[in-house]
Amino acid sequence: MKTEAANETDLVQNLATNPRRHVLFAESTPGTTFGLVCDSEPSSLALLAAGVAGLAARNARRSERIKSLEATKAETQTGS
Amino acid sequence: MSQSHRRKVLLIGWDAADWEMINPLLQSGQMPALAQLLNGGVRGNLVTIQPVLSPMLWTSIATGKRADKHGIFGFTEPLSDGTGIGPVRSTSRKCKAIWNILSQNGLRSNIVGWFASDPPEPIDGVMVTDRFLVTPKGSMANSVYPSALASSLAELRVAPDSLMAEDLLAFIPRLKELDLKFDDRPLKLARRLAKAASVQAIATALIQSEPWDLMAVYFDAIDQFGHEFMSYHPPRMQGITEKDFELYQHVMTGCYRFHDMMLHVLLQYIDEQTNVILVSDHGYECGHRRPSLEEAKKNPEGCHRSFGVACLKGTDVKKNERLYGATILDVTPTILTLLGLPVGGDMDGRPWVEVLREQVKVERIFSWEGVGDSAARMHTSEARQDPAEAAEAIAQLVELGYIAPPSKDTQETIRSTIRCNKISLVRALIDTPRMAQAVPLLQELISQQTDDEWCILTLARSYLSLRKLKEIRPLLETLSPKLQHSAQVQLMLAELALAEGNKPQAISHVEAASANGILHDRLFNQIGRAFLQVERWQEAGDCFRKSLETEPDNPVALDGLASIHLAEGEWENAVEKSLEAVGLVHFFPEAHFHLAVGLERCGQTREAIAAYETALGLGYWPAGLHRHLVELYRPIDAEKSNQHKLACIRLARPTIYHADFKSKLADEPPPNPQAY
Repeated sequence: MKTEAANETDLVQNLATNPRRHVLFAESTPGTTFGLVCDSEPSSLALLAAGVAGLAARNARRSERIKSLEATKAETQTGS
Repeated sequence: MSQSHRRKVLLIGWDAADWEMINPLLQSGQMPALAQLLNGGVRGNLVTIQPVLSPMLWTSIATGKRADKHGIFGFTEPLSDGTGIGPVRSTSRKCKAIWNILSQNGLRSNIVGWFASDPPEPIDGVMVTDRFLVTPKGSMANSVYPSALASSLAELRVAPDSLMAEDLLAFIPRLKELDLKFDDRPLKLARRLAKAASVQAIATALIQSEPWDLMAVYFDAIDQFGHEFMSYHPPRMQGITEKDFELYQHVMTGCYRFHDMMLHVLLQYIDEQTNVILVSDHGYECGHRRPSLEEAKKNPEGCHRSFGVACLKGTDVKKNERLYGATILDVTPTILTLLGLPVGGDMDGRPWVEVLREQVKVERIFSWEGVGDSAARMHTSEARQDPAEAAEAIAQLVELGYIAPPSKDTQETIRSTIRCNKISLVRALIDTPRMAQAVPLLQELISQQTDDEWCILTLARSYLSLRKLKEIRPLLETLSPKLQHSAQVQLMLAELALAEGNKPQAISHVEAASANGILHDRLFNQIGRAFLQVERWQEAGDCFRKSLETEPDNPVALDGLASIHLAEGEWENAVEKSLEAVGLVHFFPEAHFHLAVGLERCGQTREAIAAYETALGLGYWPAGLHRHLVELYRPIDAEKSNQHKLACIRLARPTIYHADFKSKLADEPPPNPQAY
């Protein structure tokens, strides 16, 4: 994982405490980072910039996120 | 152009993009895609035209014509059924756009999101209008041509509520500290970001799936982000709280970087036969000249800078060159030239042949209007406008501060819209300057509203240009006493006194203006020019230098300094300053004239002739310049000398074409070169 500008400090801290959030940014050309880049997958914003090619991936990621949130919510409700 | 291979043009519009924002980002490697475009490409300033209102400007970009020819005068217009006002429509455009010209020549265009393009024209290709991006699902088929594509393209629209928090974190890293119930700025950001992402998604779909010769994509986000967030951009402005600054200072940088990411993606889809042109319609104040938040809301146009950006790269474009003196009016002529088509003689711009790799003899057609219209795929009849859609678009414009909320009295709203559009037309006319055409419009506007001080001042200025001197004082006396003492009125009175031959009175008015003025670059320039007229070179020079300190990209101040150098016999310095001035703005006849005089005095006759001919081509003092060129050509080219002699004779004949407004203008001779 690479970090760039100072304004990402908060994100790094946030990410450390909440690793599931996938706060990811784009890598425009090799070696040039826009924000915080995860080695495993492109950032949400990069997918937005990627146009039609990025939309499907974003939608899939969003559905996965919603499912995961719903599952967590259900678990919490069951637990309580 | 050599057309052995079929050429294509990708035209990208970034509304309000400005080198002053871009340059530091390029230097720090934060806009790598743009850096890649510039590396081996061409860059330059792109001068805007007046008034600096995006629907007019993007229509000028797409037509190569000024507003009086293309007919788009503002953001809104009355609905055809008289029930209110709505966003300006493509049916109001009076001339062909580039996509019509290409259609009639068998070339295909894909147009995405272009300002004032709704309803879509049935062009050869695909047109997705600006309205499609905001229109409700039920009526979106009316905003796409062919309409069969509407439903599949609608799937590519990004809804603001589909954005995730991390999408916004690049712009607002401390988003989690905000309570959106009390601060709606992140939501505004999300709406603008979603719209830009929609344009990108649709463009990247069409660029692959639909064949094209011209792909034109327009993004309004830099301008819209600017109107909401530029005030928070570093350095912190007065009136911006430290907390707001900390929260929102990264938004504009994020916006430019996001555009760079989108550019990177678009460039992946082009081949080596494609020439890329990236332009903005105007710049946007981002430094110490930014208006306050309050002023910016009151007058959004005041945030705009005269210089936008132009970048070109491609197989037909020279490498690593600078483009000088380009205007937004040149984009369509340049695209036509790149695609091997003639430029309309009635277009107001010029093709950028100086940055094309091959020497091009520009082909011209008298006009594209009235030629091959049946194949141009223009509107045949006006489509009905849905008031619900219009209301949505109007609400966005109100939010941006571009227009006032529609009044309860619909008729008054319509009247006020018509008035605003007429004022835009006047501003377009006096920008050229065509005062004789502006006068009847101004008289009509004043008769409808006798206390409109802008109209009164502009009419007085027009009378001054037309040398209708007797009309001026009574008109100025109708202004409020405060305005009568203002710098701008004092400067006008100084010019009037000069025209009446009363130099001491002129000097006293210039001194009053100098004492009364709120000093910004334009006023420094006006005072400087007034001092020039009364031959107070030292004071004039001081004004122009102060003006340059405020605004370095300042052709009027540079030309003013050139005039002083000419007056003082410093020919080389005059040439240097004139070259800087015309390098910034090509349509500046007076500066070409001063350049010519300087070059002539330096003994560079051929270069001087070229500059005189440029000034002449821009309509500057035909009688005098033809006469002067007869003499300059005499020892080196007898034929040319005779041509100019004939032109002198033609000019001396009485005009019989009374519709020519120029004939109504007073023949005011500018300074003779012999005077220097």
